[in-house]
Amino acid sequence: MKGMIFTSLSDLVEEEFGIGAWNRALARIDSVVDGAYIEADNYPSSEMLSLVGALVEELETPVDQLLDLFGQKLFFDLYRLYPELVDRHTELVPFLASVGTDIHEEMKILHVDAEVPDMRCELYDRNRMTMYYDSPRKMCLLAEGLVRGAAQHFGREITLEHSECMHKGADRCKFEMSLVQPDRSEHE
Amino acid sequence: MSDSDDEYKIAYRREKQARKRAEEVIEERNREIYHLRQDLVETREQLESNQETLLQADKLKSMGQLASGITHEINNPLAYITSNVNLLSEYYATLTRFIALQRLAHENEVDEKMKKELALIMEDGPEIFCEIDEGLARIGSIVSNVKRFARKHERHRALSDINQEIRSTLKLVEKQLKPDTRIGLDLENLPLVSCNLSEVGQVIINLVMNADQAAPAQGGPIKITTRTEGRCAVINVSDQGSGIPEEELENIFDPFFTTKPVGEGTGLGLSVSYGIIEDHGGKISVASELGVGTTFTIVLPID
Repeated sequence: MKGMIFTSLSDLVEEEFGIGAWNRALARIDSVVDGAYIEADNYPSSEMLSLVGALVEELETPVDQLLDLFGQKLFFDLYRLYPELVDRHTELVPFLASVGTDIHEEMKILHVDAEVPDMRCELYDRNRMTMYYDSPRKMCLLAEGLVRGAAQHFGREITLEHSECMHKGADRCKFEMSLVQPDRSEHE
Repeated sequence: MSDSDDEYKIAYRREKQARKRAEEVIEERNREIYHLRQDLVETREQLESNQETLLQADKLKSMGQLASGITHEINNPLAYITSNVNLLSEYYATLTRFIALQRLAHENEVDEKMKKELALIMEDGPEIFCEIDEGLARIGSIVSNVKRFARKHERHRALSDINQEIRSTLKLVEKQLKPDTRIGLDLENLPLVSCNLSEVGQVIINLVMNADQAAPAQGGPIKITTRTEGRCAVINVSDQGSGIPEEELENIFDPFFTTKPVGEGTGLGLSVSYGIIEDHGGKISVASELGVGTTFTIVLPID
């Protein structure tokens, strides 16, 4: 898993809960680099799962809340690194529809070792879509946070229902998303 | 020391470790970029060289088409000029015999001035016809060589031993080489190559004679090597002569291009060689360094 996902989590915890909380969470796990993560390296996905588990215990926060918060932070960090991938869209729905295809393909070109989840979309109209998430890492809650981060970036209020989940026996996760205020723009 | 100080100390050590690793990564990436840049430079040089070769081949193809048209146009008048000159030569012989008889019969009626003029005509005539014959033969030879550069010849191809042909060819030319010229052979076993042996032999003669001419006044070493590369036979002819300036290399296979003094070369030898090798589906190229020498490389497909 890309190092920037680890550094993004580290920044979030240090900013929101303090350095001590991050130190203690790291002390709970067996980190391959003693927590000295850098954006340019890759680390085992299992270490991210261990970190999330350690933070849930350390911060006494439900995992869905933590990952939702992290997903939103991660979206803004990704935007900081790759603004051109987001700025080519002016609306949330077309942007989300391009994640599993264009954006993940470009990420694989930029980072040949990138492990991206399988993201497929069904668009009903410019206000409603279904997203399917599939990954052996099962970080669907992080994906949910990323969608919320994207909605915030595009200034859209959304309803997001995680109707099927891999953690509950489904083959893949299913998210149903609608814009609260319909998109009446003529673009995209 | 407070708990907060300890926390920052731990974080500082971790950040320091991360910074060192980040510096290592930057160094690794710099090295990768350096090597990629080197690869790109080499690729670009290769592309530029290939582009030059393609342009050269394209130019020679156009020249071949032009030469083919011109030789066709020259050949027709050349044929009837040659035929008429031969006929005229026979008429002249008859006429001179008749004049000689008339002179004997009317010796006293021909004045001295006329006698001198007739003597001059009788004396110069054969020489004039001889020079016309030589000139026509030379035009015929040039036209024939230009045609060989321009036209496809697929006749008389057979599986042949290139090394054997090189040895036989050298026996033919060695007496024409400069006294100190020595030819070294390094011939690897080659599979038989489908070719017109006399044409390939002509190319070898052209290259060896050129190498000899590039050598110092008394001659110098020439090396001929053969080897197999993939499904091709490769022949190198190298000399240690004065080398060819870069600006001349790009024209070296052009018809009538020569660096020899006027009258010493037609400038067709290398263009004919080029035409023959191209006609065999092969490639001929040249590499030269001033003061070091020149190497011509022939690549002939084995199949």
